[in-house]
Amino acid sequence: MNTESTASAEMANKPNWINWLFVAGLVYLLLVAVSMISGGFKMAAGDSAKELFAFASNPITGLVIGTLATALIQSSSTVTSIIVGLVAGGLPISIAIPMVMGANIGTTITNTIVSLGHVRQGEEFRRAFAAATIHDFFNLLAVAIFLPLEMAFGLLDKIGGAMANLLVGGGSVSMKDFNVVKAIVSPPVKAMQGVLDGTLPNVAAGVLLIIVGVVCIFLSITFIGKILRILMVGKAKDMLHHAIGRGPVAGISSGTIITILVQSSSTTTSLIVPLAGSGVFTLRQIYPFTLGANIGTCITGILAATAISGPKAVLAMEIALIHFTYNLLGVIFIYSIPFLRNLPIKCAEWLADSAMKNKLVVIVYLFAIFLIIPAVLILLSHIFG
Amino acid sequence: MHRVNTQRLELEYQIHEMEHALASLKVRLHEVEEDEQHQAIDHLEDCLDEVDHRFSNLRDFGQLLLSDTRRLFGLHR
Repeated sequence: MNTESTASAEMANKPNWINWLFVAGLVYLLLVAVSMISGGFKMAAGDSAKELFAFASNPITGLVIGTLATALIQSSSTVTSIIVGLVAGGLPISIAIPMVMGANIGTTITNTIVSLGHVRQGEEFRRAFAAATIHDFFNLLAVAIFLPLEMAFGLLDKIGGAMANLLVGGGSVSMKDFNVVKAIVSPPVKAMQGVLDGTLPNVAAGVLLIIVGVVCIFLSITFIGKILRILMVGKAKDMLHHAIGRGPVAGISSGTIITILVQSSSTTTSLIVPLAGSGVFTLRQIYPFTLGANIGTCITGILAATAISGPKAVLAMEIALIHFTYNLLGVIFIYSIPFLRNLPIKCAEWLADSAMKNKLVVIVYLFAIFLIIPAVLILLSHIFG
Repeated sequence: MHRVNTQRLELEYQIHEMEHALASLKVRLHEVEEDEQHQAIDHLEDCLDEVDHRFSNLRDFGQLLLSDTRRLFGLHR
């Protein structure tokens, strides 16, 4: 038994109320951490936040940053929460949008690695690898459709902006007067800012606050995920039992709800890999479930956005809602058009067939998605402006 | 003429019977498949555990890839 399994077993042995108490504490830590990033970014960058991220003003660069950051951390919730904090600190929405799209692509690496556990089992590996990479191809297709639309018309920016104004209030209907989260999150952040302000220069204090915030977000989301997996496994089973034989909408809904329950899309997309690998579920049956994970994962960003108060609260909520809108529209648009719906299935099946015959295909594929194609895209986008 | 008619009716009846049997078998297969799916979901904890084995998966895959590559280039004894 490895150390992670031992830690999970220890958590499982604790009474449920203690685990729930841990979850509440970790959610609080997440909210404080998002607020820390926002405050730290303001301290470090001041009014020049836009100039600081000028290197990412090219949408392709933003997309690649989101992809690589998520692939390295292996948590799209962590990256979107960090982006929410950065937007509240002054990062322009136009730069943040491709980054959240990239987070969707980056998160797919986790279930691909999980599928490699079946690599010695021939046909089982083919099914598991196809189940993992169908998520990759769906997310790549969504970016191929929505990033050009965003660049040309600002589609998601407009929808997200309208929804955020409706929820948080941009002017007349402001939530800032009765923001409970602000009241509980502000004190520790202000205390830290106060301590750092007196001891370090503004830029160094801001950077330190951002680093502490990023580490806290990573830790809180990781442990929330681990505890919720234990607490929610029964509910997840009920959801899956209920979805069997009820068609794609039930699959999407159960994928969404399970991801909300365990607060991790990679957990949801990874747990179906062995189910598909064993041949009990077909690729077409697990496909809607994977799409639900994309929608469910947005809840963490929305939760993180509630930590932000003041004039930037609308922007923080806007980027969280843009992430949600993007994933929801992606599922509705791609899944409702048969040609588009079948593309990820065909690509995943073709890639899995090739990978089963030659394992080098897996390495070539991973390098292509996470290294070669991003590098080529950045190069081309800079050459052609 | 009468014999041809009878033969045709017999064939139609046999086809109908076979289609009916096929439909029953499909329903039974569907039930068995769903039963297997419910049983697999009952062991969901095992699937969740696989998420924790990412690094050992990568290590195993690296070793397999290395041995495959050696074999490909004739370096394996």
